[in-house]
Amino acid sequence: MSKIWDALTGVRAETRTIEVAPIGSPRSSAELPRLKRRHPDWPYMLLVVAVVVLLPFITDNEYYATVLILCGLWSFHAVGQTVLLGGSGELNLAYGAVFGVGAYMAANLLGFDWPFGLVLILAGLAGGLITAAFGFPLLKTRGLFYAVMTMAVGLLAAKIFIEWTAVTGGSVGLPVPMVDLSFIPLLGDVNPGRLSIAYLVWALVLLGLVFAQRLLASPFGLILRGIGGDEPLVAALGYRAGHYRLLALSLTGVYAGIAGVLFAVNIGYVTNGPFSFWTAFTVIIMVIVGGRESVWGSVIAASFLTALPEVLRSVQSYRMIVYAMVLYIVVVIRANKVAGGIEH
Amino acid sequence: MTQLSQFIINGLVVGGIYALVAVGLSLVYGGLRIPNFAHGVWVMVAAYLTVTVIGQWQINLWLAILIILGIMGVVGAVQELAWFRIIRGKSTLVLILAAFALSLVVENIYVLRFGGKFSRSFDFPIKGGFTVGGVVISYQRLTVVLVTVASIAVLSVFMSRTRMGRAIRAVAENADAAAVTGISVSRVYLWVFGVSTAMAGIAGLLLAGMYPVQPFLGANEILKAFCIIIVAGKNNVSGLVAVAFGLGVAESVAMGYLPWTSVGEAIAFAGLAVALYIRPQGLVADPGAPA
Repeated sequence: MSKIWDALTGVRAETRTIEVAPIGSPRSSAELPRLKRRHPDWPYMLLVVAVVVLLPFITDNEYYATVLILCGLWSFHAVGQTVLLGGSGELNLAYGAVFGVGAYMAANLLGFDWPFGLVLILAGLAGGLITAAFGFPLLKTRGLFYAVMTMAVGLLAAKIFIEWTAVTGGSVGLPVPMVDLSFIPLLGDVNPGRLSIAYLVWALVLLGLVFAQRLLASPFGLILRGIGGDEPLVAALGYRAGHYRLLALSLTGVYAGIAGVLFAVNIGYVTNGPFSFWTAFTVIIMVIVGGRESVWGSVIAASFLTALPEVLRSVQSYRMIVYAMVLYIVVVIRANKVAGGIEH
Repeated sequence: MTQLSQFIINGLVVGGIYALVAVGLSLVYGGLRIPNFAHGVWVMVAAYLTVTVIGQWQINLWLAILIILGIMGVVGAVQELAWFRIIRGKSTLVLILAAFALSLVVENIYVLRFGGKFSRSFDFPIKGGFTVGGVVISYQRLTVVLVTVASIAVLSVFMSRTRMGRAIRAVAENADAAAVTGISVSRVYLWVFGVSTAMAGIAGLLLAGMYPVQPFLGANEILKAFCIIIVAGKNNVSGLVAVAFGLGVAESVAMGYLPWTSVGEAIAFAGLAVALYIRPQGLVADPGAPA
């Protein structure tokens, strides 16, 4: 945390000193230095690519592709949530609802024969805009109140998903048309089937990961983390804290929208079940277990927590109990690390 | 007019339950600054207990209230010892996550035991009712309101007249200063959690007589309770009760006259959003504590 404060306040900054603007006058993030990263990314990337590409050659079991896709989907969720939770440390419990918006958009728009790429982009945009719309009035609240408000938004959306049957199919659900993914080149002479979806999901995970990581290391991320530590101080330095918080929240919405499309295309049929508060909370568990500020950590935690019960083939409820216990143990052992300078 | 009165009466009953849950939650959240999201789960647990105690064992209602108060009080104290003591005084994020984890564990144990959809109910032992100007008031509903008011009154007396009640208020004010005067802070924590969970127990008992009992019964209640606390302020019992009854009536009237059943939920959240927009620190600001 001290490194962030050094950079934000310009005191003892390693790279350069910032001229201190008069208190309260607006300041932009452009004048801040980038944080240097300690470890290069490419070994991790290589490892991910190797696992995704080589796994089909190692095992004959068709099931691996499903596990691979699920791990990718949850990793994507976790990476998106890291932008907010690893930045300002706020909880977006409406995440599941925006995820649902993406999935329902996929089901409907693909049904009108819209191209897949366009739907993916539109869902991302819609997710971001919707999140910004409900996030704006929430800016006045912080910490617990913020979490409760987002939870309320999520619950309201869950009601809308059930009531608005024309678009969502209610509790019966909607089929999602098959998407032609033959444009994705597959390595080796392996059964394509679900492998192209796995490739697509993991490609997007890596893309989203690079973005999230660069963002958190950028001046924007710096200010965001400063807000998590002491919002009034950051505001007093001249940064418009609300703008940064809203943008970070909206970015999780973009991830949620895209994840919704991927989810819908993978599963082929959407019902309102997954778009609840529990999805949001599962994602938060993964981010916390992986280390709140570490993007790679959330990918590893998401994959591990997804693959483990999947291999054990356990019931949903057992899985939630295992997750909750893991979360509790992590929170107890690393309480100070989890809080990481968050004051609220 | 008769219809409106009926909706208002029904709303008062719902509001009473909200008040019980909110007051119980405010003990832990207002007093100890622990946002206990697991509070709603104990409402659900008590509702299942009620189905067993009254529905199966056919125990007298008033005796059952005492039994459930006792059991839930002990459960609450154990909850503090086993789950929250180790992270006492950590940041809000840590406390929220730990409380969520606890509610997930308990809720899913009940899902495994009783199934997610399967719900149970029982015959409330007090039957019948009377009519005033065309408005039906069942004795059951009357009991709910009376028990609610009585519980909150007993709690107020406990907080203001007994040694432990005063110690709780002292710790809520300033835990370090209270410890200096010789109050055992650890014992206060145990008591607060015990009393708070016992309040959730009464709410669960009353709910079990009105709605089908299922594992997710508490989720809605806890969210409403947080909404009420945010609007009314966390250390303001009369404010909590007033807002809770107001919310219950508003929901009931809205649900009665508008076509969508979800409108009721919307009222609580929309009201909360408006209230927070006008006064982000809560309608009744709590001096000295950050929001």
